[in-house]
Amino acid sequence: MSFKDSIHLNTKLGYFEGEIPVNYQYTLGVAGNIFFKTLMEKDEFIASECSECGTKTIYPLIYCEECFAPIEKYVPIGLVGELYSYTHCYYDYQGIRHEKPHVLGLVRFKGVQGGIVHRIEVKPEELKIGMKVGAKLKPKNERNGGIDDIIHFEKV
Amino acid sequence: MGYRKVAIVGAGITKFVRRAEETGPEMAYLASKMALDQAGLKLKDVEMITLGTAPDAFDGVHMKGEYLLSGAGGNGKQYIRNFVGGGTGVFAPIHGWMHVASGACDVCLVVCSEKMSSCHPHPQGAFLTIFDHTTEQPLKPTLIWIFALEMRRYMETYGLTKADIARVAVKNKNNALDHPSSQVADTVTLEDVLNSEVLAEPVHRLDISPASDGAAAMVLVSEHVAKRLTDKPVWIDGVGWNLDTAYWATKDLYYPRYVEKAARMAYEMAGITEPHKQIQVAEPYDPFDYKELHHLEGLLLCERGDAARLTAEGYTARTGNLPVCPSGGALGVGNPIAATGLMKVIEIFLQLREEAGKRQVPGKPRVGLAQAWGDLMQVGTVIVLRR
Ligand SMILES: [Zn+2]
Repeated sequence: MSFKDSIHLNTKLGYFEGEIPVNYQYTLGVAGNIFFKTLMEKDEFIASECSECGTKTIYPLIYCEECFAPIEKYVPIGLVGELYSYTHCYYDYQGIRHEKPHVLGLVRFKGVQGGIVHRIEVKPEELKIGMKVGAKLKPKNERNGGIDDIIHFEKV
Repeated sequence: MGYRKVAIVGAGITKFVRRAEETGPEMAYLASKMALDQAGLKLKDVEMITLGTAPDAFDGVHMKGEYLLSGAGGNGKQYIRNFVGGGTGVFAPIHGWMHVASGACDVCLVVCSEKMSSCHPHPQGAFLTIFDHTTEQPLKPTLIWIFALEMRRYMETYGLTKADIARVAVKNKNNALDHPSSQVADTVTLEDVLNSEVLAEPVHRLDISPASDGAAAMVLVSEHVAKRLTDKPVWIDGVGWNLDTAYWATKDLYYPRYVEKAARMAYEMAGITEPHKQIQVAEPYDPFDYKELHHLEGLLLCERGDAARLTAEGYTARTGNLPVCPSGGALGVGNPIAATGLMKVIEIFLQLREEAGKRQVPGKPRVGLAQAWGDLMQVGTVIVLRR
C-alpha cells in the first residue's frame, strides 16, 4: 500500500489506537479572578485601565497591551454594550447540525478595547449591528465565577 | 565569522512554583517586564521577540506561542516561537542571538514561559505521544522509565553507585536555598535522596526535578546599543545546537553525543580550545541528577565517567574549581521546562556580572556556559557567555 492508493477506511491498514491522556484545570489568572469575582458579587463587568496611556481593556489584563505598563486600576463598565457583529450558528464543534441555530455575537463597550463574545437572544427581526444589548446574568446563588454566569445578551 | 556581537543587558525571572495563579501570558509579562526594566528599555524599543515554550499539551493550549504573544510583548511585532523540546530554554537565547547577530534587529526580547500545572492527572500523560505510536506507546511508557534505563547504563558503564549520583541532587537542592525563585530548595542529605521513594529503579523521587509553573526573559542587543545601555554587558560568545534521531534505542545511553556536537560548535565560535580550563562556571541541564554528570562529560568539561568523582571531591561545588549549577538548577529551583533553560543562562549572566548575591561564585569568572537538553533524549543546546 502506498501513496498512490487511496484508502477511505482508517482501519483497512494495520493500526493502533492512541490518545493523549490528559485533561486540564486552567487558572482564571490574576485579572480573570478579579473580573469573574466582580461579576459574581457586584453584577458588573470590569475593564483594566492603564495609568500610563489610559487604555481600557476587556477582558481585563494585568498589563497594558499598548504600552506594557503594569495595571493598577480596574474600573466598572456596567453590563450594557453595543452589538459589533453576529452570526447564526448551525453546526457545533463536533460537526453536529442543530435545526434551530443560535446567535453568537461580539459585544463591545464604549471607550473600551476588546469585547465579549456570547450568545445573543434577540428577535430575528430586531437583530441589528449597533443595537444596544445587555448581559442577563444567572441568579446570584447559581453563579460559579465563570463565563456561564452570563446567560446571554439581550435587547435593552 | 561575519556575525555581529550580541550582548545580554537585562533579565527577569518569576518565582517557580507548583501552581501559579497567573495565566501563561501573565507569567510571560512579569518576566518580560522585569527584563526590560533591568535593561532600561521600553517595549517600544524592542524590535523582535522570540518565545520559547514546551509542547502545547502541557498548558493545554494549542498554538501556545500565539497564546503567549501578548504577555511577551509581541503584539504587532516580528514575533516567532522557537521549539526544541527541553532544549528550548537555551535555544531561545540562541534564536534571539540569530536575530541580532545577523543584523536583522538591534534589540530582541527573549521570553520563556511554562504552565505545567494545568495538565492532569500528570504532565507525563502529555509525554506519552512523544514515544513511537506503534512500538512504544502501547507499553504506556513514562519518561522516567527510559531515563532509568539511561541512568542504569551510565552507572554500569563507569561502575558508579547510586550515592555517586545522588550527590548532585544534594548539591543542587542546597544551592537553590539562595535562589529567590526556588520551588524545591532543601537541606537534603545523601541519605534523604537514597531513601526517597523509588519511582523506577535506580531513579528515586529526589533524583528528579518537579513539574513547575514559571517564566523567564532576557534582552539581547547589538554592540552599539549595549554601549549606550550598560557598563556591564555580557557577550554571547558562542552558540551551538544539535539534534539526533528520535529512535533513541539506537544511541549509546551512557554518553550524549548530540550534546558534545552542540558544545563543539559553541566552543569553536567562542575560540575555546580547552573547555575544562577555560569555562569557569557552568549550568548544565539537570532535570535528573545523573543528567548533570552526563552533560558535564558531553560538554567536555571533564573526562568521560569522571564527573561523579569530581562532584564527590567538591570540584563542582559553588566554591569548587568549576562551580556547576550554582543557581540550584532544575533539581533545586524547579523545572518549568523552557523557563528553566533560560533561568540557567540568566544565572551565568548574573555570575559574570557578579550580581548573583549569595550564589556568587568566587574568582570573578569571565567565561561561563549554560546547556539544555531534551526531546526524546535527542537535543543539546549550548551557549557560551563572556564578560
Ligand atoms: Zn498603556
